Amino acid sequence: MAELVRNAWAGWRSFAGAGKLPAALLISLLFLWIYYKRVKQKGLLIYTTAAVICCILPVTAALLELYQTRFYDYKWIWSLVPMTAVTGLAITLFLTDFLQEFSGGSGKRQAAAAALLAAGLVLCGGMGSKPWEGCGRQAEVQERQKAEEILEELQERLQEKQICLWAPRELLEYTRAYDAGILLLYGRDMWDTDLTAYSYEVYPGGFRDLYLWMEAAPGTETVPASYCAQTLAASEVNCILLPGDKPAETIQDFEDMLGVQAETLGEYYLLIR
Amino acid sequence: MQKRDSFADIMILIFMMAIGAAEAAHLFGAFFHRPVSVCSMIFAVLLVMSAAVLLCLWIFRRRKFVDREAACNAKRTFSKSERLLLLLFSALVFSQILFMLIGKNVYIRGDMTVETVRSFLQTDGVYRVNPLTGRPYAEGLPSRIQILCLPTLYAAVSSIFHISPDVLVLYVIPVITLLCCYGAYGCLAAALFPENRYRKLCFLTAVAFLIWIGSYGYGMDGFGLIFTGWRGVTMRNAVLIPYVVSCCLRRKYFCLLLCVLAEACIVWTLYGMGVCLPVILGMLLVCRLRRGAGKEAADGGAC
Repeated sequence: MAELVRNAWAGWRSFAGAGKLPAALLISLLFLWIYYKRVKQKGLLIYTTAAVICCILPVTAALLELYQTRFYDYKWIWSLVPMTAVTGLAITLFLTDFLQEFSGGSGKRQAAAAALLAAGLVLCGGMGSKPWEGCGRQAEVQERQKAEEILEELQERLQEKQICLWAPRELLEYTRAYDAGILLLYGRDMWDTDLTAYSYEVYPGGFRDLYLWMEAAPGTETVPASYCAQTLAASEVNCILLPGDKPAETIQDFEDMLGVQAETLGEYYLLIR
Repeated sequence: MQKRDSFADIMILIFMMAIGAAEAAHLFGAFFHRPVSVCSMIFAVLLVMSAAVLLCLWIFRRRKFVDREAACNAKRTFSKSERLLLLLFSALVFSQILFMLIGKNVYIRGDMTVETVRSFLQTDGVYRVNPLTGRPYAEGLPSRIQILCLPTLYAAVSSIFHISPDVLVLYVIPVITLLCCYGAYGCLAAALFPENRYRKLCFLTAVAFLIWIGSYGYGMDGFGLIFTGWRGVTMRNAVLIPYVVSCCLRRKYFCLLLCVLAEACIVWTLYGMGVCLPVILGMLLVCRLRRGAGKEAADGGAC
């Protein structure tokens, strides 16, 4: 329980640290409580305040995390708080009631105050900028297009044959979304751990070694190429794409073990069984 | 308090009906091992029938309980400031839709909806293979996941309208979710400011602005709508929760029940007791306590 409470507190700090909308919500609640008499729907205000307190206090937050089955992170307990609605309500009352009263009906002052408020809110968050790491829009699009081109060419070369593919992660990432007819040795859940919650499937240990070997820079592999080739020989994989930067001896090992000839496909070596 | 259904209410009700129809079709496909093509047909028939009944009821109720004063207000011309707010709101919504459609602005980590829909269509069955590998399940999947209907809904729409699953899931559905979100906030605006169009528009503009702002972080409403609009949690947080709050304020109890059921069909929750139910209980408890203390009457009957 102590760990759960610690996690809940760390969750709040990270939730509030990433952006400032939770701060905007707290300021909105403060404003609405000061302006209490003018707020018609007091039930919403009282409920939201209680829910916010429950989400911030570590003990109640930990209990809420238990309630949501711990499948979801801390941030999802904030679904209980109508954050956008209450912040929107505060902004509306501020602009249409409070400001009108204190600006003496001057339209210019109201517009200036609204612009300042908008600027302050923009500083609270982002306007569509991608917040996740390592995925610039252009890079992501190019990676996907490149993967689709390779897969298209692969399908052309194998004609109507059922493909069971082993390839680097940058290709496997998009394969099943591109064509569900292509089978894989392992899927995105190998590196995207959130996906493991969607099934009880567990990959054999050898598959994990294959993944690590494929993604390792040449010379840093933890298992020999011959081990990978042996594992593949025993599997149903009929199409292998190896990165172009793997040494020629490694490709030779695969050719010998699998009894096939490597071809080039884009920047990859292609081996078809 | 206004209890009459608006166009926005009808939009959200059709949204929930689509979920209900998809759930029926999905359970039929999953537990009776029926093809997705049959499930699509069942989904289409159920949806058309329920939407037709709903529209007939709506027209009948509007004619019977027509609120002449509200109708006159609706026809009243827009003032200059209202027009400006409407323009600003439309510009914000349009920019969001444009952002979602022209860029590859999707966050797919931890999500396999496109793969699941493609595998449903490829195998013409519900969860016949593991969507991430295309091979049959060895250990299976949690039953709570198995009954969530969104993949079947998308597969059905994809096969009926011949839209590629990735275009449908990553681009079309997020736009529909965004529009339904504004429908839900429109209902909330009507509950918060029943007789003031200027404030309603101001509220909706503030919400549209906050959605842009909230796109900075995973878990925020804005992020969900802009980058992951096809997910069940986004639909819950951006459509069902604001609608639940509006229904609590307007005392539309039947719609609250529908929201709880809709959430159970689209989000992995604790035995269906997701977020809508505690929000409803919390709101109703507060309203009940205020009513008991005689404070509701002092506020003109508002919760």
